[in-house]
Amino acid sequence: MDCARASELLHGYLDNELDALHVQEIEAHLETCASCHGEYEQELKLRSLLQVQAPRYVAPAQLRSRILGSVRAARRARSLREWVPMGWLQFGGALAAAVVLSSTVTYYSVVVSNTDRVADEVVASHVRSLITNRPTDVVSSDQHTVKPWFNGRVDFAPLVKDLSEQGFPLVGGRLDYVDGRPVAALMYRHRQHWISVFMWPDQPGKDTATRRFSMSGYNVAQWTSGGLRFYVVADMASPELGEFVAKLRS
Amino acid sequence: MLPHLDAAYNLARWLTRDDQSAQDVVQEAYLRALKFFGSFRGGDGKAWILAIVRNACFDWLKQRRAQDLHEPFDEDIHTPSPDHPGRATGSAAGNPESSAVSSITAERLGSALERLQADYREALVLREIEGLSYKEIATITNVPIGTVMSRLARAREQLRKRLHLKREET
Repeated sequence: MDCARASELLHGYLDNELDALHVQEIEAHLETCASCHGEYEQELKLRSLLQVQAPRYVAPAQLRSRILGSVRAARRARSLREWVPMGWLQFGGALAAAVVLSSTVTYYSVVVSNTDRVADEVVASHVRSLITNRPTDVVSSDQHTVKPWFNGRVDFAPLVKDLSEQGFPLVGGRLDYVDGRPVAALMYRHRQHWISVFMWPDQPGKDTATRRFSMSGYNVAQWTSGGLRFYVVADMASPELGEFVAKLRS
Repeated sequence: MLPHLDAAYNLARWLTRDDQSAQDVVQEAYLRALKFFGSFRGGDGKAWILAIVRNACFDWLKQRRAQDLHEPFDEDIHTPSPDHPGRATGSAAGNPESSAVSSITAERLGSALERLQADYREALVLREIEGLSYKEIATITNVPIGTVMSRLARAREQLRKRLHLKREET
């Protein structure tokens, strides 16, 4: 690989968007070329500067009420049914539900695009943990702190994996209640995304393939392995969720 | 609760560079979204709403440019092309960024980012602040994935240059 090609691919590499073959090529080039390696280091610095220093603006509270007010006004002029012929799906479902129902009813509890009650419960739990700013009871990125914390709190040994090297640092764990029983919930992070991993005992020897679907705008993955039943909930795009699940299952 | 409102506002705030304008544009975009919800065929709801928000922002930017030819940031629409990086004086003299990075404040970074042309700024905001993948950014901005990568490359190059220029002024 020459330097022109390397600088073309550098950004894809930096953003973790290259396939394995190109990653190998560019890593080999970076090892031997000091100038491209210097370029790469500068980009890394710029990136961490941006991620640490550039603000993510949060929508002001009055914007929410302004939008809901204007939607209501528009709705008076025209019936909502005409506007939303497709029914309750993801965005429209959430938006329409927010308008139709009082604002005290949170949207995840009314938007059900799937009859899987348990999936509904875990998505609700994920959302609730983020809304209440209390995603974890034990805050630690160390699997050897998080795992023992569950001793005596649940009657099984949860799977706690350190995936920080793969870009999914562990944030912590909490106790939750799903499907009529206490379950272990772990929280991971990936860039701006939060990932909840729920697990509880299932019949041993009943390992299944991963089933993926989306619910209320969240992507969900579900499987059983090693006698535990897993649900993963995140607002990440499906391929990234797939990558996370693959790392967790490997 | 309105889905993805923070992401929508953040994008609009960076593109319009103004709180009130961002609120106006987001409000309009959400009304538009509800109206055209029939055209939503499932898939990534976040990308769908962000695409509507960014289109509303670019409409706003166009209107505003037509109204006010003396837009303060207009000079920056015509930034030097990557083939002629000559304006960034001293960029060839060693690697001055290494010392600059630690001294750059959030304010300085924000203002340098705000002065990038809108499509570069948009790519950086979606990638670095919103944490989206190339594919998601490509969907939102309606360009091929390869264009996302080259825009990010140019955006970062220009941002580095701007930060470097500022450093030399002080």
